[in-house]
Amino acid sequence: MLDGVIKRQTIWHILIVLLMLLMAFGVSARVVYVHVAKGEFLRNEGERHYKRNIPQHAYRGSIVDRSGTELAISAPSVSVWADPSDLLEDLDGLMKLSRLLGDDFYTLKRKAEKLSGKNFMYIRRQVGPDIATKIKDAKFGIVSTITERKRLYPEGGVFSHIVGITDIDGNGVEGVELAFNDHLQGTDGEISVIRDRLGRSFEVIDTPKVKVDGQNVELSIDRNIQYIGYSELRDAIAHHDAVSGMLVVLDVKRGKVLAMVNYPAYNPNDRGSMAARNIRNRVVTDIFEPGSSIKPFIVAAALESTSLDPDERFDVSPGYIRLADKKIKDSRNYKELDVAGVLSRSSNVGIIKIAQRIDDAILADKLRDYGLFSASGIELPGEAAGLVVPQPEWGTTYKSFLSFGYGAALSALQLANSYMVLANEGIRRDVSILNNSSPVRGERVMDAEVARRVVDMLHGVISPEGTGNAADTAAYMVAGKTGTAKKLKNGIYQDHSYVAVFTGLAPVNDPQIVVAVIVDEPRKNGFYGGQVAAPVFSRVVSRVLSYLDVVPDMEKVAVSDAGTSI
Amino acid sequence: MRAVSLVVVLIMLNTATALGIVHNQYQKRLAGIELAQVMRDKDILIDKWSQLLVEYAAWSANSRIERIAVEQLGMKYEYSNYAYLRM
Repeated sequence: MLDGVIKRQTIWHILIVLLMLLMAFGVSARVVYVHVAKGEFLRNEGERHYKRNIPQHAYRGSIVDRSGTELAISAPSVSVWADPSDLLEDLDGLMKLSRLLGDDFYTLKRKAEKLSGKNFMYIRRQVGPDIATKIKDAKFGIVSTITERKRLYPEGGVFSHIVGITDIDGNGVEGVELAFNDHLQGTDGEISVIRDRLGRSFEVIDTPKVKVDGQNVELSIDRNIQYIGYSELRDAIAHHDAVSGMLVVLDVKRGKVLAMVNYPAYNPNDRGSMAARNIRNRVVTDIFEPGSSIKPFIVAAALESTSLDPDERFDVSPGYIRLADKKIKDSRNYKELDVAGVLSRSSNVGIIKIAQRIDDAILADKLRDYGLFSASGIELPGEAAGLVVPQPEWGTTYKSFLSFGYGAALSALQLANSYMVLANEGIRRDVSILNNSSPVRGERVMDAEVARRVVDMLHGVISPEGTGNAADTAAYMVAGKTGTAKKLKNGIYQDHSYVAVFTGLAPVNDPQIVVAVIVDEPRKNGFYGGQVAAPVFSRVVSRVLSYLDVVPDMEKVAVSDAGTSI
Repeated sequence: MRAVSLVVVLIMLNTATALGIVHNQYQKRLAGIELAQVMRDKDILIDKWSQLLVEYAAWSANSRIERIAVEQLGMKYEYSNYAYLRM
C-alpha cells in the first residue's frame, strides 16, 4: 500500500519536473524565436512607435552691407499642400480652396489629376500671412500647411542686381546669392529622437547628419551710398528719357565697391514682375565702347613711353582729320591745343596725334596694364572680359580709332577700375565687393608723377571751358572725363543713338572715391556725356563725400563763401 | 545575526540605488523634453528675429525716408557745401 503511494508520488514528481522542463523549453524556444527569427521585425516595429528621425533645416545666411544692415534675409512663410487623391474626392472643398486662393478651379483639378499617383502636391508655396491665416481659419480637411523659409529683400530694387535672387527652394541663381551660395546655404541635418506616448521628444539618441547653418556674407557696399547712386541715376534716366543706366562708386583707399547701380531695376520680392532683360548686372556683364573716357590713358601712355611734353601744343585745325574714308571731327576748330587742352576739350584730332607717337605694342601693353579691357577680379558671377583687337592685327587706323574710344569695349566696372589707377597715383588693384578688413593688394602700373599730371589735366575738364563743367561741385575739387559714343547696331554706328559717360574722382588733392556714370541712349535734354552723365557725377560726389564726412576743399569753400563759383 | 543585518542593509542600499536610477532616468526624460521645447522656442525666436529685421530694414529703407522727407516734410537737397536735406 505504502509502496503504491510512493510510486504514484514519484511518477507525479517526474511528471511535474518534465512539465516544468517542457515549459522552460517552450519559454526558451519563444525567446529564441522572438529575438532571432522575429527580432529585426519586432525591433523595427518598436522603434517605429517611439523613435523618430527629425530633419533639421539649416538657416541660410544673410547678406548684409558694410554696416551690418540686412539686404537679404530668410523669414518663415507658409506653403499649402495636399494629397491629390483627397482633393479629387472632395471637389466642393477644392472649389472653395480655389476661390480663397484666387486660383482657377480647373487648373488645380488638372494638376491634382496629373499627380494623382503621388500622395503629395504643393498647392501654393510661400503664401502671404493673410492667405495663410484664411486657410488655417477655414479648416479645410483636405489641405495642410508647412512652414518654409522665404528669402526676402528689404531694399527691393535698389540692391537687386548685386544681391541677386534665389529660386523658390532657396538656391542662389543670380548675384551674390549665386556667387556665395555654398557659403550662405549651410547643410541640412537630421536627428533621431525617442518620443513618449504624448509625442514629446525626450532624448536624442543619434545624429545621422549634423546641421550646419549658413554663414552671413558682408558686402563692402554701403546701403546709403547705393541709394544715393540709385536715386540720382533713376532721376537722370527719367529726365533724359534714356533706355537704361549704370553707376559705380569705388573706395579708392581700399579698392572696394561702395555702390553698383543698374537702372531699370527689378523687385526681387515679386518674381512675377521680373523681366529677364532687367535681371542682368550690366555693370559687370555688359561691355560698351567708352568713347572719350579712354583719352586720359592714351595721354598717360604717351607721357610714360614717349618724349611728349605736357606743354607741347598740337595743331588741331581745321577741326577734323580723315581716317580711312571717315572724317573724324572735333566739336569745333580749336586751332591749337596743349595736352591738357586736348583732354579738357576732348579733341579727337589732338588725341589721334598724341596716339600716333606711341608704339602699337607698347600702347597695347600699357592699356592692359592700366586695367582697361581686362577683368577687374570682382567676386560676382559673369564678369565680361573686355574686347579689344589683339595688337598684331591693329592695321593702320585701329590705334587712331582706339585713341578716342572706338573699336574696343569694356564694362562699367573695368572703366571705373582704370580710373582707380589714376586716383591711386599709379597703383592698380583688383576690385572686391567683400568687406574684409584688409585693403586689396595692388601693383604699380603707372608712374606716380604721370598719374598726378593726368589727374591735374582731368581737373581742367571740369573748368568752364571744359566738356565736363557740369560735373563740378560746390564743395569739392573733382577731376574726370566725359565720353560720348555712338552705338553700334547690326555693324553700323547709329547717328541718333548714344552712350553718355562720365568717369572721375574726388577730391583731387586726396582722392577718396571714383565714380563712373553711364547712361544708355538718352533721347531728351541732350546726349553728350557732359550734359547727361556729368551732372549725375556732380550730385553723387557731393552727397557721397558729405555723407563720408570728407572735409570740403578749403579753397573752394572760401571762394563759395565770397559768392563766386569755380 | 550580524550577517542578517548586513544582508538587510545591502538590500536597502540596493533598493535605494534602484530607486535613484529610476528617479534620475525620469529627471533625464523631463530635461530632454524641456531641451526639445527650448530648441523649438529658439527656432521660433530666430524666426521672430528675422521678421523683426525685415521690418526694421523696410521701415528704415532710404526710399521710404526720402519719400517722407520730400513729400510730407517738404525737404529738398542742398548742394552748396555739404549735401544735405534742408527744410
